[in-house]
Amino acid sequence: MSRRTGTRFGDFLSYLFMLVMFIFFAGPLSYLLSMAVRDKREIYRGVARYIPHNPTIDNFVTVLNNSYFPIYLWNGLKLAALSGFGVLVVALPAAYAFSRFQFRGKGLSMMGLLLFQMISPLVIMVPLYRYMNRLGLLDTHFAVTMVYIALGVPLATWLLKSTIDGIPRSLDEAAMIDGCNRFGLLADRPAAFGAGHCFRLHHHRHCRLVTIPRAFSTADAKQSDADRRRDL
Amino acid sequence: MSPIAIEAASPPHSRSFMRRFAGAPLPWIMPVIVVIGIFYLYPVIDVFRLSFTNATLIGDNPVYTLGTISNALSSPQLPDIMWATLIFVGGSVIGQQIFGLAVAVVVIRGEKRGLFGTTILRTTALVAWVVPGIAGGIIWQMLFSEAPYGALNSILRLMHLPTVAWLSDPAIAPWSALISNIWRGTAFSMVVMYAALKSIDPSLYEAADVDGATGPQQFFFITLPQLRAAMLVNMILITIMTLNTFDAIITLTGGGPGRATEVISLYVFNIVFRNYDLSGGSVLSVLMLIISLGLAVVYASFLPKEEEQ
Repeated sequence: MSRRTGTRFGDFLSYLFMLVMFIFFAGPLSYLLSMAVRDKREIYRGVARYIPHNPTIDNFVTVLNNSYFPIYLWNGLKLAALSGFGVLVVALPAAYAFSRFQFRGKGLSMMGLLLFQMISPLVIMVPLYRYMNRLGLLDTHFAVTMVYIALGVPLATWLLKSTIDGIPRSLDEAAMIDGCNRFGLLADRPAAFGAGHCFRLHHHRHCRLVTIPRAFSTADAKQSDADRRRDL
Repeated sequence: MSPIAIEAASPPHSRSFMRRFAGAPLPWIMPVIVVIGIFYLYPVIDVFRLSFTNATLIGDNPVYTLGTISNALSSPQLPDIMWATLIFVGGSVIGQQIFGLAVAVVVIRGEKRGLFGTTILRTTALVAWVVPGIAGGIIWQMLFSEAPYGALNSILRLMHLPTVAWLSDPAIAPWSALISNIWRGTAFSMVVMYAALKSIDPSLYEAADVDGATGPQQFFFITLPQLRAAMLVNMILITIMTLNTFDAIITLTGGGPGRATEVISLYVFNIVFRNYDLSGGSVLSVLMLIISLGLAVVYASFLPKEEEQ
């Protein structure tokens, strides 16, 4: 078999595999969509009515008109936003320290953090249920948010640490020369991560607000590379 | 107030104090330590303590006893639970690792050859991944269902084949649960494997090409050894995630039929929040902790040493 037909055959196999995997992943999702737009009679026809004869959005109307639905939605958004913000407040300083400081036991404490990530939420939920009960915090948003924050902190610290690793240290130093001392950064936390912008926006010594979006935007490596080149 | 203004306004001695304070790592890490201490460390210690008592969720005056441990560990259900857990976790680790690697390899090959659809496949897999466990269970419940709307059985009926009792046959239900979990988890492996494959030094393949190595040879002697660390880390993560999964099983089978799909995390949940048996649940929580730590140590011992890399 010549090399060229071999490559063609490989392409064919690749397409076949991709098609099978696509059906495996997309099939359940598309069936969910198909069920969502059927009326009551067609539901019982299975895949025979994969494309419903009488597609309807009544199901969506019913669900969205449920008087509790806005409350569910609001609860979800509120808890997600509060715990996301809380995780950031707790994990950012630690991530900065892990990234920028050299100290004894650093690697060990990073590994320790991962170890906590291994503990099932279920394991700690049992005693937490008892504390919250005793503190009268069961059925409160506060308790849920605090637990979410705790569950998110180990991973967030790791992610933020590698993100901050990607912000060149020279920008920090330049910012410090310009008057952002570390304590200033601690007092005005976002500033630490705005260090790069501190440098860029000389005249604008407040240097806040910029870095949190930055810290997250760098999750996309290409984006951060482009950023860095622009900064330098 | 700008940082410069703070500094200028503070007297010299306090400035040096601040500088020393700000240079030490401890104050920065303190919030994490406090949160982890309150929400992880103390509860874990408490779980150990509770497993030596006969505490329940309702009663109050627990007495210290070893009876709970022996009761929980000699429970006749435990072997079934462990078997279901083994199928679910072991199958998920193997299945997600293999599928994730295969998808990543094919996607990378497709990108190199400019094949159509690599992005579509990747995106679809990721959509399956972000589906929450409970919703994933409901989706697969609709597919496996033996009611007229069950997708798989209605396909079989269309083809005039006998239908399968996907969720009500105790011999088949664990595998159905496994398929649904592989569906949900493969994208994670795919992302990890994709990143690892991208980071393999291309010159290795060029050298292999010069030496006349075939595609399969390159895969087994370059790709797999280079991926070893990433695969082991990936397997540790899948093991832990799957061991902790019970939301998807609750909505899919509820642990049934009988106890065929009752994995250990679901068992703990049922014991604590349905039977109110806090101490029994604690014993099994400790068991879960030991299992995941033990497996992590085993995997880690296979990790390549620094000098080998």
